[in-house]
Amino acid sequence: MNCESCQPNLLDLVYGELAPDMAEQSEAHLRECASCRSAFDKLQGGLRVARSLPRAAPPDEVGRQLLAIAEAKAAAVTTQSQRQAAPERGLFRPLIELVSRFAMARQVGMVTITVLIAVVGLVALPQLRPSSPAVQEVATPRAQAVRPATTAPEDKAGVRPADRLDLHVDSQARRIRSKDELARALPGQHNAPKGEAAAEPTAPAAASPEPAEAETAEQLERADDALSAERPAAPSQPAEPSSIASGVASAKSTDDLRDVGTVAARTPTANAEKKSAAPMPAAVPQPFPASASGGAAPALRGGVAARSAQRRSIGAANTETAQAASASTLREPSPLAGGRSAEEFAVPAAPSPGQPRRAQLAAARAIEARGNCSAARSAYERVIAAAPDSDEAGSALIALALCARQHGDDTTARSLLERASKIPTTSTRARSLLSAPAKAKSSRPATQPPSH
Amino acid sequence: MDAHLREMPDHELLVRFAAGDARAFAELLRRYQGPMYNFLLRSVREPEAASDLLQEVFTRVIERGHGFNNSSKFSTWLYAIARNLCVDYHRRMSHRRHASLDGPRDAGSDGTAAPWVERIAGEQPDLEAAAASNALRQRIATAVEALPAEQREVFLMRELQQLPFAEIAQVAGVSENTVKSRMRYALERLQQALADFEEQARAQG
Repeated sequence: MNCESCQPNLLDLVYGELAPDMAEQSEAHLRECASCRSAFDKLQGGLRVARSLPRAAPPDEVGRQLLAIAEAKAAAVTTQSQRQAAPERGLFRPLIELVSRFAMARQVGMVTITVLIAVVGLVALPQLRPSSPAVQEVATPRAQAVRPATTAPEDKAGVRPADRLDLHVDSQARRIRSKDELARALPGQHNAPKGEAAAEPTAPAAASPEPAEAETAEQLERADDALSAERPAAPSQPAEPSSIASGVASAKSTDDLRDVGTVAARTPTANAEKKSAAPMPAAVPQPFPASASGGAAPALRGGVAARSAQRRSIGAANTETAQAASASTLREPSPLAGGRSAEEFAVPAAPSPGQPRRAQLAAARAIEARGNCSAARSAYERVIAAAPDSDEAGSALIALALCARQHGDDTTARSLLERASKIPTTSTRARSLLSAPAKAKSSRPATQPPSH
Repeated sequence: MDAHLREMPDHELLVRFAAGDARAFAELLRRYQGPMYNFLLRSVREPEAASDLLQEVFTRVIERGHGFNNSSKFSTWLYAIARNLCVDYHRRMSHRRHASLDGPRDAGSDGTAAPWVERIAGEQPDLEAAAASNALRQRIATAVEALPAEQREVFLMRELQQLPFAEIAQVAGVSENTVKSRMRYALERLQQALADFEEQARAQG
């Protein structure tokens, strides 16, 4: 052992806390090393002084106070432990136990209610979707207003043209005549049909609900009769170009038609007499407003009867068929068709309400293309009634306006164009038509407004 | 006092006291009250302050003894409380001028004139020897109180409570080698300061 390793051991050696082997080695070095021995002696001397340090006794009062505090603390601990060990007693203990027993009941109940609500919602949600027929079939008030009152509720195909219009297109005279006018012009033919019509049970007024489902031509005829009977009293009823066509068809010759046209000429024009015909429920102004003259109406009554007879012979089962059949009986060409025979102008099948609007519009245009814009009027009206603000309705309004202009009814045409101008897709064309001057009417005979 | 409590380790006594046995605390008080008081006395150098600090130390033992987790020895915990209280005391009294260590001590303040039993090796029976002993004691006390604080606390914990150097290291928060080094310096200083008294003691002995 050297001094470097011995020095750290001196304190432990002085205190006797060195391991025996280390102590022996250190003592052996101390015997040989004077400096380490001197250091060791100093430590021993200091230790002796330290052991001579006087010790003072603590004050007794401090001891007593501490013991008092300790005893109080111990007593408190003992009391607390005794309280914890003893069972809790009291008035509220049973209640607390009862409540704690159902502590989780509330949470369980809420979870159960939440699950029930979720299940009910999942079950009931599909039923709340607007898929029921009742929801889909609810018509808008405007649409309902568009439909003429003559629409038979039981008629699945919708309004029969024959029920609506009481007009006949005189293709030669290029004018539209009311049923009455046609009836006057063709008395012979009118009588039998009249009688037949009279023999038949009078159907309720046009304004009133139609009798039962009028799918057959017979029912159609009754409705026509009822309509024609009430037309004078119900000026709101629109004219039916098919009726006019039938009336024209009833005319046996061109002379008859000329007579009809003469009679029509005697009646005030639609422009002169702007009978404020009650607008159609859809506020579509009548392109061919009824005139004050009631004379024109009788002229067409016979035509109505004749048309009814024709329809009966056809045995049409639906509106389109009856219309087409009646149109096919036209003997005289339509004035718009440029002199072609009526047979060539078999009116295309009118669109059914169930068709899409585009198809309805196309069908109406097809009818017009055949030279019978008046016959297409009901079809256009159907398109408008289905969706008054649609693009197809705008096109139908423009078509009706052009047809009205053709027949000299600029007022109606203007009103229709103004309506069409509110529809975005047809506004430009409508406005251009509004600004364009109406076609000259001098070459045409005055349009014989239908009588309602 | 019960004999079995005297043989019980410190931590067990503390547990018993926490359970509500005041006698266990009394045994603890018996073991540590004296040395703790002298430790405090030599640290603060004022008997009244030492008494107050003594009561504070053991009051804290009473209040916090139930939370003692036995991660260290009870003596370590106890002297750590005392050391911290002494540090706080010196901070409060930092502006106070200490009584001159060179001047003669009042027997009362020093506490050495109190009727307590001397434990000086080589007790002097005659009056002259007694007076010399008293003077020696005062010199020793003065020399201890004159030690640097870090050397003094190590010296006092070792000499008054016989705490191992490793435990002192835990209380002081330093390494064991540091503690031993401080102790050697303290012993050398005491030896140097009291060399004359030692020679005197030998001469008288």
